[in-house]
Amino acid sequence: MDVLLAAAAEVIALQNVAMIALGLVIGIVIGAIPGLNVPLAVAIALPITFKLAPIAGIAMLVGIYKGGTYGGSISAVLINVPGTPAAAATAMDGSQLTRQGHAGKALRMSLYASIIGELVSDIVLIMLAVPIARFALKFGPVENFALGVFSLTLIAVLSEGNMLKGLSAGVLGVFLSTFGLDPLTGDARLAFGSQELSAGWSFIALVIGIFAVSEALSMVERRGAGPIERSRVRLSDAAHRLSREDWRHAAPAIARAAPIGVFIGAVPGLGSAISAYLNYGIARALSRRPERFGKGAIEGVAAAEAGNNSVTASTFIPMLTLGIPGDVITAIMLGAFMVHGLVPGPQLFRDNAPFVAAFFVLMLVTTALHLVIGRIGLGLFIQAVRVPNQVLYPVVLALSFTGVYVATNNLFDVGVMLGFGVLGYAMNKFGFPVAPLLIGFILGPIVEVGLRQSLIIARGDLTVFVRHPISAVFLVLGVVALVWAGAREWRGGAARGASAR
Amino acid sequence: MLRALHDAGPAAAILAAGLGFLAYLLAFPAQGVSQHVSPTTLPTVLAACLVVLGALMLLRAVRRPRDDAPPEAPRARPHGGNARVLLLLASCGGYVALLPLAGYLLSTALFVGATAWLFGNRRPLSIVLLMIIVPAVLLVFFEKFMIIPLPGAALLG
Repeated sequence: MDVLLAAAAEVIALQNVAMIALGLVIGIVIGAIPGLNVPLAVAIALPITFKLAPIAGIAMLVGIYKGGTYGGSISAVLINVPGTPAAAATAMDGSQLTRQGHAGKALRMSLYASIIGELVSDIVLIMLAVPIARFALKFGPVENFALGVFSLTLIAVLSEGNMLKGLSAGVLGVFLSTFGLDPLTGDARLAFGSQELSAGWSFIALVIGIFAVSEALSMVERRGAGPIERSRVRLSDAAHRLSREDWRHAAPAIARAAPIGVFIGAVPGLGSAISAYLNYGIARALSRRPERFGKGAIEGVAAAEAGNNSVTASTFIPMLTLGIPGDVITAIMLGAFMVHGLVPGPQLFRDNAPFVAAFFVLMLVTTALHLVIGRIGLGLFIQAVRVPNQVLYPVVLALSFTGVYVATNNLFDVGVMLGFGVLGYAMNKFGFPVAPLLIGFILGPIVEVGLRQSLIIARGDLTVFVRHPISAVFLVLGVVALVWAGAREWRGGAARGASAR
Repeated sequence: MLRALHDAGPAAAILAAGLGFLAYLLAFPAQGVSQHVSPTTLPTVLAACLVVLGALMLLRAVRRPRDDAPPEAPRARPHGGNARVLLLLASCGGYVALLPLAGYLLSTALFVGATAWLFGNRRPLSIVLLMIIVPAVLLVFFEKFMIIPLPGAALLG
């Protein structure tokens, strides 16, 4: 207890609070700009932190991480351009709410769901870091494959209402993920002799093309749609406030998304995008009004954002307890720890207990400050809905092209973004859902690498997937989800047929 | 009839793409050491899936075009919409081509001006301000604050 009180006193020192706030503001801005990602911001800020006291330096990086993970949702909601790949799940319903004049609702829900997700993640990190790290380490290629397969079944769930089109989009997404060098052998496949394509399709180019460029193409086609609001937009207006009904729909989605996201964050190699999509799919699958998803369901925003941000503390679990960074950001943070003479792993808890306690308090203080800064920012961000399309879309397009260029540093990927923009425009026009394509693209490599590594380890024995208990559970869940989605589709089809007659 | 064409078009495109990729992958030389799943196994299976899904959609579109979804409510087609889409695509393509030649500042200014006009902006002052402010702000932010170089002008050396 004394250690925790001393840690709290250290963290709430003015310098540390200022560093957290600065990190949060930088993170939110970077996260909201397409193409600029959180690892880039953390990497740029890393040298600055070397000159600071350990906890102050780490405070700034944690602020950037948490702020950046949330920031992607702001542009996703307001202009349908996900600032981060994970925010693409938020864009599906968030941008629809903005079109319907409820941008404030979507922004508020995105902030509050993010904060709840972060808080749950912080608490789990503090209370259950060691047992969760032990369990997460049981995830090898076999379990990753099974988790990937289970997540892919969400494609069927998200395709409800038009299974063939949804499945086509999902298969296309997985297929697109196989372009470029083979992840295991390094052999070129589907690269067509192109040096640029040997690295595969850029995910950021795909996401920005599918959302921003296709949106601009649709908008220029039906030119004339002006801004929804002309006068100053007030968050206190009824259209922008969250009602009890909204919370009734969103609360169960957040309650499910936060623990799932925490677990995904703890497993090395997965990350926020998978968490956001998995939770979005589960929220739709379990919703009493699945038809609202993609058309402005507040619970869609809630599930995606809670899932997205609930990884932010749990990604530190394998790093702090075992010295294993779970993703790029924690790998960079590991460097920051080591520069300050802190070696993550079991010995960190033994030799630097005061620092560990201060780090835990830091996570909670960052979440609290995130709520304050995010809430202040909402009033400013929402004014974007007043910008007329004639001004907004030229800016969005310039930002999208620039964002993809700075993220990939080549013009080939800018052209790729344009190509995916045309694909997204055509998919919207012909009624193909884009969510399955994105899910397939994210999960494709996890499934393929997991399958091939497992078969190499098991010498081709396919029963390895049912002999591992965790894998068997995920595969059974996948079969159940498929059967359930198929039954719902069949019942829906029968109902449509009856009403047509 | 229109509904059938609306669904048959993309179905035929998926079928054709699947067949094309399948033919390419089946002709792909065997690579790597002996493995249980080769680098081309998954792409080949997925291309075959695209063929099957495309064929099923095509069949459904041709045989019972009215069953799978209620007909869309007639919507007023915006005048000149397709032309504007093509013009915007041409502007984007032109921008990508111009970037390495004219540099970021000039090509972005021209692109922003062209897109503002395409989106219906007819106020010269507003267009000129956009052409100046947007590229300048983005250039300063990325090059000065983020220290990320943007394309220079090859034509200007």
